Amino acid sequence: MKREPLRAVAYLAIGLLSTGIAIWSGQDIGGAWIIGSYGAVGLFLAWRRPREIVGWLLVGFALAFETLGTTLPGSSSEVIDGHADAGVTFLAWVKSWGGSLWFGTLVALTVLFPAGRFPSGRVGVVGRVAVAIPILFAIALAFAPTATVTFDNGVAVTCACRSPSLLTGLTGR
Amino acid sequence: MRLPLAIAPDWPDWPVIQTGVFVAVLAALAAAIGTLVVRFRRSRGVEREQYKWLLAALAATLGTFVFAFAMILLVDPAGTWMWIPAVLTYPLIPISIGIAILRYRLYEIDRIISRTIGWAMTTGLVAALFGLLIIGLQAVLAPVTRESTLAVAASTLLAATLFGPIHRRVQTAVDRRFNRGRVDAQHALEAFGVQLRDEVDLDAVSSHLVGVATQSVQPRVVGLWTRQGGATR
Repeated sequence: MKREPLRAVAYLAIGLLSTGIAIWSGQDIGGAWIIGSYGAVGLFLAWRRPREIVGWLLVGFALAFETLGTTLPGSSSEVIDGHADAGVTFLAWVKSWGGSLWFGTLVALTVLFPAGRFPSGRVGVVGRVAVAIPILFAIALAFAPTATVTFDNGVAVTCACRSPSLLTGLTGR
Repeated sequence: MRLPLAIAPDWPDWPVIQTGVFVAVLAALAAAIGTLVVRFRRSRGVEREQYKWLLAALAATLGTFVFAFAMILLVDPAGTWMWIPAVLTYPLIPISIGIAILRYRLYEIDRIISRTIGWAMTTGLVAALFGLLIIGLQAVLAPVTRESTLAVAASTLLAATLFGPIHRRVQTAVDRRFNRGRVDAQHALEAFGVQLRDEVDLDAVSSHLVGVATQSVQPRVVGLWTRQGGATR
């Protein structure tokens, strides 16, 4: 077998694996599609060009989206009262600041593409500030006194391909 | 929920940070996109092609969102089908990033943009023409045919016949703007073909050939080997 078909098979396998993990963890089709595509391309780039930060940022984007889309098991009152499992409480805490960090990967991707380093001059200063803002907010939210806990809405109106999942991810709610 | 790792929980401005985070990160993203546009305008060569891939993917994705919102407002406020193009174009952004970083078929982007715009414009023009023909022919033929499908059939036939010529003209016009390299190369090859008909001097033909190769392919170095009898020079 030549190298090109082998690469295509490997690429397809990575894509299916990323999408499969996303669906297995409870993502809707729209969410799994995003995670699968970003994760697959990110893993492929990280494999072929491990020193290129852009590939790793795509993987980070997919992982952050995956974490944000995961629904918390149990009831919200358990988490709020402090009676939930340590894992569930930890996940609720990560979700409280993960939205800002997820946005941070998007900003970093935009600023660092394609060279993988900050541009020079005034544009570089603006880029550095733009990347710093979501990171600083994520740190601030992680150490805030309270956090909003999000659970599945039992009476939510849903459909097969929920594009609003993207909006949900953007707002972190 | 109360967080166990809270620092300075009594600080009164925590709610400001918690509610302002969305606006702040949106502003950061807008600034990042601004730097992307500035860098694209200043870029040259390979870097410019890399930016073109990402910006084309962003434009396509944005276009599907605009389409979805337009359909919600104008056609079907409760529908979900209009989100299908948006969902389908999500992977364009990472794929374009992958192509740009790996530099795989990097220079194809001009052709892709040109073809996409060409087909979209042709489809729009033919659809508009089809609509006008149906309305016009029905108005003209109504007294004679009395609600027969003749107007629809004639409109379909005319639109199908005109599709090819319209597409050729639109594509040529779009190529002139978005795929300049192709147009220039095509003109250079046509001019070379005309010169070959009249030129008999080998040195002049060689010179023209090198000129055409330089203009159309833009290589760093050009070399030309010709066989003369048994020897190569």
